Amino acid sequence: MSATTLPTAPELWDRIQPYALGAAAIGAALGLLGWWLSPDHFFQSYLWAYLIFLNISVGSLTILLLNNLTGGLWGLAIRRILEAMAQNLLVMAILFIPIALGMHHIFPWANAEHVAHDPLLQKKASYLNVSFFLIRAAIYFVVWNAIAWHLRSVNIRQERDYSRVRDRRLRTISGPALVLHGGMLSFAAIDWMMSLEPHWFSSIFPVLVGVSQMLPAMALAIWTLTRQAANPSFGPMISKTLWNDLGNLMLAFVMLWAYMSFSQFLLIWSGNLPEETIYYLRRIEGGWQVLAWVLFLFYFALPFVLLLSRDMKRNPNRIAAIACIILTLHVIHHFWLIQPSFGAHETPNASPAPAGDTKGHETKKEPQTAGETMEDVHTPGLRAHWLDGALFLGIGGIWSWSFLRGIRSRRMLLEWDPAWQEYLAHGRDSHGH
Amino acid sequence: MQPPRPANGSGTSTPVLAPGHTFGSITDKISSIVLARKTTRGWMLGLAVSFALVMVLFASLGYLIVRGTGIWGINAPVMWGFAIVNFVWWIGIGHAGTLISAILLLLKQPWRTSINRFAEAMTLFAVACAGIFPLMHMGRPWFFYWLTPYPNTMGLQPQFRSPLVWDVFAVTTYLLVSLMFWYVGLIPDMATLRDRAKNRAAQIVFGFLAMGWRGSAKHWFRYEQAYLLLAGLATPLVVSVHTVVSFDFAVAILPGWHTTIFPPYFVAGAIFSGFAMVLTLSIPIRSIYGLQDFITLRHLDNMAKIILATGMLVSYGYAMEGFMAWYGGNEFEQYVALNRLFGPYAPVYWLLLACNVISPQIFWFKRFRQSIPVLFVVSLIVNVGMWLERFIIVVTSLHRDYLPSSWDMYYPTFWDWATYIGTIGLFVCLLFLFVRFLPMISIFEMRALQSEVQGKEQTT
Repeated sequence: MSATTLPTAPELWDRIQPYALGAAAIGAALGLLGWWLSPDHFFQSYLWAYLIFLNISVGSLTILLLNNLTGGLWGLAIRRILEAMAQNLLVMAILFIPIALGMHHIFPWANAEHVAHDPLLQKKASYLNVSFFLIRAAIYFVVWNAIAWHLRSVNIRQERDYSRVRDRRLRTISGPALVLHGGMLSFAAIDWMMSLEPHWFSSIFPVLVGVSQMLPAMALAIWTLTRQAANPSFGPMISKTLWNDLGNLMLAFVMLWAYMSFSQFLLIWSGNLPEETIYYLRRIEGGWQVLAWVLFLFYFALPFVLLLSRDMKRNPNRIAAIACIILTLHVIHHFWLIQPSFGAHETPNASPAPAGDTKGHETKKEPQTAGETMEDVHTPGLRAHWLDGALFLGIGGIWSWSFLRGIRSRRMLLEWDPAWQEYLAHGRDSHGH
Repeated sequence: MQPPRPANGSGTSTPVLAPGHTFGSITDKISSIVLARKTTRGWMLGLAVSFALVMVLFASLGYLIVRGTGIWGINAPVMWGFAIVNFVWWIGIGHAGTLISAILLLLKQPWRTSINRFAEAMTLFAVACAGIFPLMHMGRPWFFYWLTPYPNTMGLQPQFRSPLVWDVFAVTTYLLVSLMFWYVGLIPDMATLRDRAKNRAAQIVFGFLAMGWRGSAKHWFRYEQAYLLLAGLATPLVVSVHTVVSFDFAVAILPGWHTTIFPPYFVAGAIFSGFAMVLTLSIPIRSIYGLQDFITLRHLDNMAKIILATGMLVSYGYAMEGFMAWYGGNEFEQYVALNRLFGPYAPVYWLLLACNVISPQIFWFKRFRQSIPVLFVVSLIVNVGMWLERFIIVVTSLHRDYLPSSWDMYYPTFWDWATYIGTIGLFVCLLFLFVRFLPMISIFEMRALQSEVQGKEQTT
């Protein structure tokens, strides 16, 4: 097949890639300065920025495996893009090193002094300890990269010479791989996100994180596809039905995210146990409630309503705008999930909890009753540090640069895949309904 | 319309409709079961046995109303015995019908067509069985209307913060929407039966039920719109009903119940048990009525895959529940986990793990997904396993909670078993009547499927 007739990714990528590199350089320089000035803030901001991008990569792997298992044309259109995101897991493994170095700045349980005064953390020490944590992280990255590498290598071979047997074998292996991947992402969510507040626990949390990974991965894939479809030699191949299917999937992820988030909130609010409510008290007070409302309105309500409309889903420009909203809110979501944890142990016993009720419900906070096993209820107000921005630029720059390299280095089309050929032959012209 | 890619991605697998069928042969085959086929002795016997069990149900309920819920094994601290176990079990079974009819329709999965009708019927009958239990568990079922908010002289309103009240709304909505969906789906087939019936009584009854359907283009246009709309309405119900059921447990702060994974884990468990029940029913039905052409190995294979997937989700739920019990560091939660594993009900728990975690693993292998005996046996095992799961959830948390002085054991009585078996009889009895008097496979959808399959053959 001649490469000349194939549409290449728009030159847009060429134009942004240097900017990504520039952002990475600026972020790295500022980050190093921050490391020197204020290591606590550096590592905390680092984890936040790191998880924003790591979670997109992990989510892309989940979607890829799901698509291998269930089939579906939508997967053919965005598979290359998702693969490029999943490929970034190697970069993310290297970028994990600063977290390993600065653990005691981030995780209270990694701080021996803190643990010495905390009997509950001593009980949990067989799981939450430095060496086991590092071993687990190594396992996650080995498994993720093995899966991502395998998917990529099979597809490269398929590109050269397609075989149905290999296709079937890929599907067979995707089942067990998904099971393994589910375990990895669950424990990674517990290790890197939940254990920031090591007393708190919620059994739906790993599932909630899993969904929060797929949603931005889908949004970014759709956005990237809309940019590619702007190229006239590629765009017409993506039918309206295909856009519709992709939009529906994004809608499904939006709803799943809302379902998981609301279930967790309702059960914790209703149970009203101090060991659990503390998590939400930190997130609905001191300005954080503004972010909670923003998430409800713009991460759920707005995309939900917009994506119900068929016209929105079938128009690449409109669906690209929705994807951008979701990606922006993904960043805010992570800010709301992660940042309130840090203030909690920054200034222990600094001030008594503010006396206000939460939204008029009878959620009484009793900082004293919990005694020495409870963390202080003190909620640091909503604030951001300049390092948050710097490290977001830095890690985002590296991630984006590598992602763009990934989508530029491979052909975006799967013209060798019989399903795609069938689609081009029959499905494209008729837009249905 | 975009040609649906085969669900498992390969074009060479078993078809969803055996080749060689025409519109006429499909209509003949399905409608003759209702119109022409003689009532067999086997059917009479099955109906008689299940009807006898319905009598057992009526007798148990009658005695219950006379004597009160004391005839059951419930007492402090286990106030939620069999009644709630069976309620959750039956409601869960219903979910497969809604999933098949609504979600698979929206996902354009052609293989749903031949199994949706009786899966929907199964949903209705299962919800009917489920509804009996909370109603009777109230003790004074004649006051059931107190659960609804209505202006009354007592100035009472239901407690809207209680998921038990949400349940009333969720289950009633579920029943009504499922009934409408099922009936609307039946209308064109009723007209087919009306037109083909030779017997005057059948013509009148089916004609009445067909609501004047003539099959005009306008009819079809409106019909398709209504059906899609109902599918859209039914879709959230697949998730919401069992989510509310899970809230019944999880909003309480009882150890073992209060865990945030419950909503998705209950929904997965419901679909798991529902598909197991669809398999349990479809395997004998397809062989007795010779419907192997319509319910092919492809259907059974796909259902086995769904059972495997949801079984893995349920297993994930067990694992995460156990891990969080330890990780949370709450000694009461930890005790519940230990009590399940090694306490007085430990054999039930281990049996449930064997049924729900281990047995579906066999479906990783295509050989077993296509073996009728294996499918049938595993589907029965999963049905049992999911019942045991609800037993464990209800009983082990209640029988030993925070206060050891109030610990006690729960044992079901004769009347518990009689009521439970009675509802199984009611379920089976209704199914017998359904397969005899209504088309158990959607005739018009099979015709549409046939033209689609044929169209595809011609183009390729």
